[in-house]
This record gives sequence, C-alpha cells and structure tokens, in this order.
Amino acid sequence: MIENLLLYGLLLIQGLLLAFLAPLSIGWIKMQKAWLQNKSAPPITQPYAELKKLLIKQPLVAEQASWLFLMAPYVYFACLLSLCFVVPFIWITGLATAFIGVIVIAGILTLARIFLVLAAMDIGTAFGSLGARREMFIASLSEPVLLLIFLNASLLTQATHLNIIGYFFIVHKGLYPGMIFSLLAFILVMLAETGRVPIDNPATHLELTMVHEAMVLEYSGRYLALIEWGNAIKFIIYLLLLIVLFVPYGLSTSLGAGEALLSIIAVLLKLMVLIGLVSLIESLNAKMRLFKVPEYLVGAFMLAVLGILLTQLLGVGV
Amino acid sequence: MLRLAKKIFSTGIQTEILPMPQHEIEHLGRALQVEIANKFSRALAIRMVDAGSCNACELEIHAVNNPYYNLERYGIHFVASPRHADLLLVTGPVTKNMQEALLRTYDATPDPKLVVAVGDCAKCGGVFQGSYAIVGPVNEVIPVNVVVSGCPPTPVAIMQGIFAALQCVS
Repeated sequence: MIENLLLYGLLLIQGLLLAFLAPLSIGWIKMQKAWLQNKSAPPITQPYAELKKLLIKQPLVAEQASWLFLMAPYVYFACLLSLCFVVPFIWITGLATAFIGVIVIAGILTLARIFLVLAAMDIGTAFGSLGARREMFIASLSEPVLLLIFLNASLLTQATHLNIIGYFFIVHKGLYPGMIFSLLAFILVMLAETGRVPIDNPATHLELTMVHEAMVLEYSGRYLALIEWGNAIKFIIYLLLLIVLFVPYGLSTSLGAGEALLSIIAVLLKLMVLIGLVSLIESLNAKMRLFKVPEYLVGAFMLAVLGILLTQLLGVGV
Repeated sequence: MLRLAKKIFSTGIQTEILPMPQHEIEHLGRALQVEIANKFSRALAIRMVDAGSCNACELEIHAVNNPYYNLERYGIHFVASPRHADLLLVTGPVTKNMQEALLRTYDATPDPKLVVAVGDCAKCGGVFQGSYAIVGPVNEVIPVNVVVSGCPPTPVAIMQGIFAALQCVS
C-alpha cells in the first residue's frame, strides 16, 4: 500500500517535471539554431521569460470571438498536459500509461489540434482559416503514418501500451529491421507534426508561408502563453515517443534511486542529441512548397508500410 | 547541403563584442537587459509597421537582426501579429491609406505597449512633408514614446531608441 502510494507520487512528480521542463527544449533548439546562423544566442531559459511576460500582459481578444475561441487554448493545453502523464520520461511507465494506449495518444493529439483549428476559423480572419486548412491538410496525411508506426511496434511486441512496448525492447535487445524503417518514417512525421522547417517555419513572420503560426495570430496574453507552452510540451512528447519506441535503453524499470539517476542522465543526453539533430536538419534545409508536402508525407507512409512488411516477413523472432 | 554545413562551421559565431566607436552597443545591451528584466521580464516582442516608408528604414531594422548586431541575444524578437507584440516600430510618414491600418494595429496591441517612431519621415514627414497624400508624422495618429531620427537611422540608433522607450515606461 505504502509502496503503491510512493510509486504514484513519483509518477505524478515525473509528469509535472516533464511539463515544467518542456520549455527548456524550445530554449535549447533556439540556441542551437542561433549558433548555426553564426549568432550568439539568448539564454536557454528565454522561453520561461516569454511565458512569464505573456502571463502579465493584458489578454486582448477580438470582439467577434465566441466561447470556443476562449476555450480552445485551455483544451489544447489540457490535452498535451495529460500526455505528460502518459509518455515515459524517467521511469518506463507514466501515471496513466497503463490505461492510455498508443491509439488514444494519437487521438488526444488530434483532439488538441481540432480545437486549435476550430478556434482559428471561429474568428473569421483570412489567415486564421488559411492556417487551419493547411494544418488539417498536413494532419490528414501525417496521422495515418503515426498510427502505422504504432502498429508496427505493436505487432512486434504484442502490446499497445508504451510501458510494455518500451520494456520489450529493453529486454529483447537487438536490431529490428522493420523498426529502422519506422524510425525514418517517425522522424519525417515528427518534423511535420511539430511544425519544424521542411514543412513549417516556427520563426516565420511571412503570412504566406505560415501554417501553425497563422492559426494563433489572434491570441494574446495568457491564451498565447498556454498555446506556446503546449507547443513546447508537444515537441518534447514527440521526442520522448521516439526515445521509448526506438532507443528506450537506460529507462528505469524499478524504483531504485541509482537506476533513476542513471535514467535521468541517459534521457537528458538523448534529448540533447535529438534536439541537436533536429536543429541541424532545420538549418540545412529550405522550407518545402506546400504542394510538395503530400509527396514528403507519402514517402513517410511508404517507409512505415515497408517497416510493417519487413516485420511480417522476418517474423517477430523472439 | 554539405557545402553549406562546412561554411557554417568554418565561419563561427560572428556576433561581435564591438570595438571602440560602437562599444556603446555592448553597454546598451547590458542596460537593455536590466530594463527588459524589470518591465517585460526579459522578453520583448516587436511588431513592425510600415506606414508608408521608402523601405530604407526597413533595411536598417533588418540589419538589427543580422549576426553582427543580433538584437535577439537580449531576448528581443520580431513577431508576426500586433496581438503578440509589446512594442510597435513605426516607419514612414503616415499616408492617408495607412492611417486606418496604423490605428487598428495600435488598438490590437495588448497593454502595456510602447511605440517607437523610426526615421525622419516618422518624426516630421521628412521629404514628404506637406504632401497631399500624407496625414502627418506618427505622433499625430497614435501616441509615440520615442522618436529615432536619421534618414535612415543606423541600427545602433534604432537599438538606442528601443532602449529609451523601455526607460520611459514605468
């Protein structure tokens, strides 16, 4: 009983820690990108300063805004915050991992997106609905790929919960050719879903090239703070999904303090390297034309299908 | 792509701790950080409004973002919407067609907000003074906190203007 309470307490702290550390990932990627542009960078804690400033600013909304517009940032943030308690961070399991499977994770991500899209169209500006339509266009192509990647992992491990999938790969170390194709597909989808360079530019001021930014143009003050924080959480959640599906080694599987410490060091190192790679991809590529995006995502889809075919052909092999 | 990567890594960080004549910029930067820390908690978002300028001022403002001046290292960055902004950077004599747009931009910016008018045109109309197509300098349309003169002003002058604007809000 006491041990169970301790476990739940630790998992709760893990989720909250993840939510509060998420803006650091944005700070780190901005720092890397500044260095790659041969500039000196603002401090890594800059996103926290931005969030604090947005919280003290007046939240000004358009007079046509309905309740949906005011609700959307809260729903968006709540959806992504709930995922903080699902993805493994220090321990192999989160507080809610046992009853939220991978398909529900994809569903929660979609729910968050739907609310943002509806809010963007609610206000009736040209750019809002333009951004919303582009977002749905990209999402409709990238979500099936995400589900196929989850399917491949589930076929291999006979499980649909992240803790069991991660545990399987830790116990049965080895090279899974099917998962390598899934990894490539996942990287392509991650760049598309988190609004990174080949698909969208998170730092753009040009309305004609915006996707995500165009949807949130009308938000200010605390609403914008929630959306920005939600984006940071979304980014880190995709990175952690990559870690647990493809390189879960080092994640702590017991309650021991030493193992947990090792796990923290391992996961932070992995995050730093992954974010470094993302910033390198972003700096070395130009943004893609919007009508090239389907080709890019169909490529990701083909890789995901190939992964499943290879898994089927080679068998699970355990 | 590899050539680009090689170029990036062989160039290195270009942001300068600037020598004598421009060393005020470093001093300015440190002062800015203190000001921004107090009023906007270390982050300032700028929205640029071109109210009819000839684009000379825009080029200089653009230079503020380049690796040499690199305004972003102090936590100041440009944003895409007045709703995200704390400071409006207005250039040009306000033309009749841009008056309404400028007023709406000002209304759409959440409090607390600052306005910096950049360039001689924004200060007094410049060479367009008295033209039938302009309403007048920026301060006849919206309240202005700081005016930066010059045709066009240098990037350092623009940074000084932003600094001065932060001082006057208290």
